[in-house]
Amino acid sequence: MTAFFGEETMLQKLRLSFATFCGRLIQRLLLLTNHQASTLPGKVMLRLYPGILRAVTKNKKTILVTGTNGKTTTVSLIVRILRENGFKVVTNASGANLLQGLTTVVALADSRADYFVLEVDEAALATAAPQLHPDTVLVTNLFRDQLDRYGELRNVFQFIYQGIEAAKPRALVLCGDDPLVASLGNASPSSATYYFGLYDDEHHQKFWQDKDELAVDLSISHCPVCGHILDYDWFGLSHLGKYHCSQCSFDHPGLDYHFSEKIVLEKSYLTISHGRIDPITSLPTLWHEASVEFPLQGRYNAYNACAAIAGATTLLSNDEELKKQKGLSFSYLVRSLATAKPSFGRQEKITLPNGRKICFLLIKNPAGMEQTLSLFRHFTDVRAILFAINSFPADSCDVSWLWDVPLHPQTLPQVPYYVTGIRRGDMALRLRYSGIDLPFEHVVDMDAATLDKVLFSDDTETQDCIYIVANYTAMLSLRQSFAAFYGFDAKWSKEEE
Amino acid sequence: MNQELHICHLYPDFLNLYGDFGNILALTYRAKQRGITVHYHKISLGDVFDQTKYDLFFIGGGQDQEQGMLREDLIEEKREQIVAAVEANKPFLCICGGYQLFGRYFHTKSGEKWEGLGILPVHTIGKTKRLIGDVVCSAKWLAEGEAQYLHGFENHSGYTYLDKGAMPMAEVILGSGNDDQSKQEGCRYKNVFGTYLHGSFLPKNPAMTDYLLQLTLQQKYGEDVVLAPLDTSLENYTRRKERNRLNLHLQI
Repeated sequence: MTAFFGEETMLQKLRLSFATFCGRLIQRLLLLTNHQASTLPGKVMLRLYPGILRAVTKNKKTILVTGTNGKTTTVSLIVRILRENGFKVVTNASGANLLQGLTTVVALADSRADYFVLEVDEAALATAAPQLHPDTVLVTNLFRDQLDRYGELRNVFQFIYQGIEAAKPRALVLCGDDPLVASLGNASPSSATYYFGLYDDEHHQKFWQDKDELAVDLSISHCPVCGHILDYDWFGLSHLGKYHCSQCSFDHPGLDYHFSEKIVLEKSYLTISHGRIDPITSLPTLWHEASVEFPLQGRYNAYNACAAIAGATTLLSNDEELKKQKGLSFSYLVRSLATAKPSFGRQEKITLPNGRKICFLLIKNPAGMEQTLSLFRHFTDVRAILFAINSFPADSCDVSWLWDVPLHPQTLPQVPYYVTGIRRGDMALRLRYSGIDLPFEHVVDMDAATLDKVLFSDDTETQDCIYIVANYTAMLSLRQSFAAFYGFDAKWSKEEE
Repeated sequence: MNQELHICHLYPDFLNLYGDFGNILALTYRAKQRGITVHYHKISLGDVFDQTKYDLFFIGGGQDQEQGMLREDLIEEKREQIVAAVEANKPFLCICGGYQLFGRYFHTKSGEKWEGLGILPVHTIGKTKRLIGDVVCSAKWLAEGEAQYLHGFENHSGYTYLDKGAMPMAEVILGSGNDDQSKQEGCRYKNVFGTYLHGSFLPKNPAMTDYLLQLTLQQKYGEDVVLAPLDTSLENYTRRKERNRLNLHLQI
């Protein structure tokens, strides 16, 4: 029952208290009995009080982060930036990015929190966004992903579009280098829209030059307005870059936040700037710029860092008082990135009790796998590479997407390759058909003891690392079974899982 | 004699949605392993197309908008050459959207009727309930025993109906296939194969890959050309594991 002028009635307040009380009780009971407590409390609370999200987020400042890849990392970076600068932040674990999980986190959150930084699943944004009163919505990128769930990329775009349209946030932060994402600005013309991307200089290159090479070209992108294939001046990665349509007036929107990467004396520096680059002259109108030695590798993580700075700055910009109080500057925000740690399963290096090292690299779709494989150009400690591929619903029940991953053996290290997971046979074929032949003994059951025997059979003392390229459930179960087998703590911070 | 093959990929920049590039990789790999040189060609919107240059043709599936964009080019500019290649018995593999485009017409959900190439004796009707899932079907014309089973993954809202007397590609054991009733998958006309199977199709079915290669070589070099045998133990391992996963116990 809503009050006539939208003010909270006594009844609503009681209903909210009752719902959160029940939610908290259920959460405690589940945790006490060692169960997952991320979705059931939310489910129950939504039943008891369908308007609970609206009620709880009404007076809070919230940023929602969505997109195909980079949500979890971008959220964790925004959280880091805000917390390092003294703000209280509530955030959700990656596994709780659907409506019920979001409700659990938001409704049971500490009421003293300054900001909510929430990862939202792309399809869930349509219904979740209007209920969460976001101040800012950030979209990282849109790649082909889970086509058995979504049908077409255009459908994912529609979900996000609808969510933004219904929520009408004060601000939108969009990847300007991604044509489909850039066109999301149309969903809410009244929102202040800011674009982030790679700064235009001569250091960019496509990862491969030869158009006739026998490989899928993930850089192909169609104009969101007229459908023609877009022309590019340069590429940042996959289909992200400086595009324009030769058939209609659709063009790169120009950037408000941009980044560039530099290697100085073997250290890699990220420079992030806040200002407008004129789309015609390519000259920047700089307001702020800062550099940081950023620990997460890969250009895709540089995009995530830039997105995080754009998101955090935008979120804070609406509160000049707060910023003045804390004496914040753009430099402080950028420098907080120096202590960034890998997110759960993403470039997560683990040293096993016996001194051996493994490193998890989470991938979910062709673009993610392509970008992850490009990291191997920079790694100098690759002992072996293990691909772990499952096909549970959370992974995508279909593995056709493996064949959309461009594989260039000449760009990959000359090391032993292994495959495991439910779809190890398909992965082995994928490798073999592109010229990476692995012996049948390297097709291994996903069992810690077996893997240990096979992976570490040469038993040499080495500081080198076994890199595990895994999709979602494969990463989770490998992590758990390795944790049990080798005796390390599998628990990640509950927030970041 | 050094054999060589020219593969023509139609609209690779528009119809590239669902991992169907794996079919090109499978053909290329299994040909190269037999010492056959493979040349890969891309022909797309606005490109001049001379079918005499190619021996084997492939067309994949894409999003509705992309398919719509190239229909005019396909029917007005490319049709003549495609028909010539088909009548010359050159093999074609057409997946999903490509399969639909090679049919007579497509009736969309909103009631529009789009003309197709009219090569395969089929028509397609767009419906709401998507047919998605693993598929296993049997193609007795392909082989006996294990190799007759075709594995794949379907994901389509178009229901394709064969004309009377038209030849399906396979009989469905698990999954839907062309539609939700017929228990038939795909269609064959001369050496044109249309199918809804992704997965990707040929990597999952080495017997089919080899059949297409053999057909192509025979068309090019003569009836008595025989493709050298090639190991399929990894492919068969994968297929076995898949049948276990799907709880299928088939006559091998």
